[in-house]
Amino acid sequence: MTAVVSAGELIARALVREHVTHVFALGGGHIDPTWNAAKAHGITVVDVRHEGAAAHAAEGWALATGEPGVCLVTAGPGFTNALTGIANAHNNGSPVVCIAGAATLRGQDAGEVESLDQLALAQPVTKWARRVYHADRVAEYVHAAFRAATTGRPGPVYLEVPIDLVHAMVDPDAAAVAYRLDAGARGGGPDDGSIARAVELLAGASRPAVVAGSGVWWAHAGDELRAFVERSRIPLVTRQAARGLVPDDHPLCFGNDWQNVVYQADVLLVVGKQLDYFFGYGGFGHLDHFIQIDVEPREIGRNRAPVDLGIVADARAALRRLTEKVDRLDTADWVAALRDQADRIAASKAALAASDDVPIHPLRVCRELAALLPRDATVVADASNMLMWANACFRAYEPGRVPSMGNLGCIGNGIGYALAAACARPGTPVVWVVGDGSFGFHAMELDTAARFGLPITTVVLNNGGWSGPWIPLGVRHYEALAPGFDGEGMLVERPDQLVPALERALAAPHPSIVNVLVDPVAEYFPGRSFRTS
Amino acid sequence: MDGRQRALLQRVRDTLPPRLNAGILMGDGGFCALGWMLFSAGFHPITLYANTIGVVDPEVGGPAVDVVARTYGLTRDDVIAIGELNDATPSGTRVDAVRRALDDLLAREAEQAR
Repeated sequence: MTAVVSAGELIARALVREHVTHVFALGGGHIDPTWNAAKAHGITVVDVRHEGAAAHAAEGWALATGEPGVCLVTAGPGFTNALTGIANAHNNGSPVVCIAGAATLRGQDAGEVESLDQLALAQPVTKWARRVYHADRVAEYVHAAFRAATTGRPGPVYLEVPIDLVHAMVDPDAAAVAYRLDAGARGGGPDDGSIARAVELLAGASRPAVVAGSGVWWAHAGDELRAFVERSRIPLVTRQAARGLVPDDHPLCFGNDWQNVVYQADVLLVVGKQLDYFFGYGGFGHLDHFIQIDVEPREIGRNRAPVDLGIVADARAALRRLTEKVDRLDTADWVAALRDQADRIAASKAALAASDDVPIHPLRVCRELAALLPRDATVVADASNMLMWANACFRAYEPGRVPSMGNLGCIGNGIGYALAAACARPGTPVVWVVGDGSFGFHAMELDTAARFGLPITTVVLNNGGWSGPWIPLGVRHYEALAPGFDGEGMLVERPDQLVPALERALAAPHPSIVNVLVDPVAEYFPGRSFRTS
Repeated sequence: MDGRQRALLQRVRDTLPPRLNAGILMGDGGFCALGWMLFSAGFHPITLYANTIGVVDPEVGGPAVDVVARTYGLTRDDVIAIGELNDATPSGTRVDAVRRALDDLLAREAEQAR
């Protein structure tokens, strides 16, 4: 007779079958059997200091590796703390599996401790949300959760396991084991007619362009994207999780500067990129032809974008087929013009980036840091206004290295991404660049970094307040926190102190904080022209 | 410029933030004059992510100059003049300079209305 085990043990076994190596979590009685079983199976349980960071880190794992990230949180406030990170993953379309504890089944609506309708709260911000009602089905649900997170347009999923079920002892032979889909089976292929028409439209273009979005990353289609671009010679822009699939310094890649490419193109191919705020809602009426490939039918022509050829297909399959069919196009003059434009834009930023002003201009900080980093470094530029400086300096040379914060507007979540990247790529530099306001959200996660031996370098762009609207916080010595986490902190007040402090921090074996006092009224790049707008 | 637009412009003048940025509608140093005019009129998404001269909106978006002109009943040249004044004036005197320019615009509109 087979020995009975806890449902938590069955969850852990299912996670192992899904090739999960790291779970981002914060403990609690409602999830204890799963926690212990996961550790016993060799899964690294990265226990953070706030469930929000666990959810952000789970998404960060997905952004760093292309595989679903997992967070494990306890009932009640443990779950609600994680909600923002889940919602962020939902907006980004990132595959995250959130497993949450919950009150007992009979305690629902009874006033039980840590009881609330978690399932109802999770549903609007996940693509799939379920509560387990029978302990012997728990593994089946775990596998279903992974399939839901990774197929079609990816996204976060929520699996709720009430405390009475997770502690229940069951016969493991009774638990059904589903299969795991490989990347190639995540979406369908395009039809021949659509591919032929796309090739025809691109061949007839004078100024064709390709924009690749996160869908290319989730489809594991980096090689296919590069092959297509190099075969066709069509210039490329990468957005969000697609950053680095083709390196920014590739002759045909123009980084993430989509506006300066798209608005001059006459035929545009968009692959796996939502037509959202960060992409002008797809309102590209100037185009002769607009081709869109997306695995999610509802994304085609969203916001009434003038798409005249929509192809519902997996990005990898579609790019393979396009590469097979497309001929080399004569784009040399068009690419040269774009390169000249990109060089002129870069030159316009050079003066600010070299500024010797005190307080230090934030662009100077980002430029000096970028110059010190190897190509395989991960730079997590946190959200808010400081992104405009980061975007101007940090280039993506490899995928998963410059994660996008997304359009939900979260701030402070970068440390979760940094924790995940440091777990995924030990031995490579991981830097969290963050404003002083955002730093306060999850700064205690530097303790997590210290406990797990993750030498994350934190660079605080400290302008002494919240920007837009301006709310002063005052100058705080955030660098003084570092010794409390076994690390080293440095205050930088003048430009000449920057490089030595950054070099020291990057070489440190522990988490370090470089607190840079930057200009609170730092002005943007000069020379915008209203008359040509 | 109708009465509602005049009231809106007066409100912009009277509620200018303590500092204005240059080169961007809204950035680390706060809003530029055009950014503040847009924000005051309800174009809140411009507060995000480094828009310099454009309003991202599928219905009412476009070049910031055009959106401001349409919203406030001003000419393009009026709006360009405010934007260029904003960017050309040192940060220490920028708010006062923009306020004077808005005073002049309101005075001109009042004169024309008579």
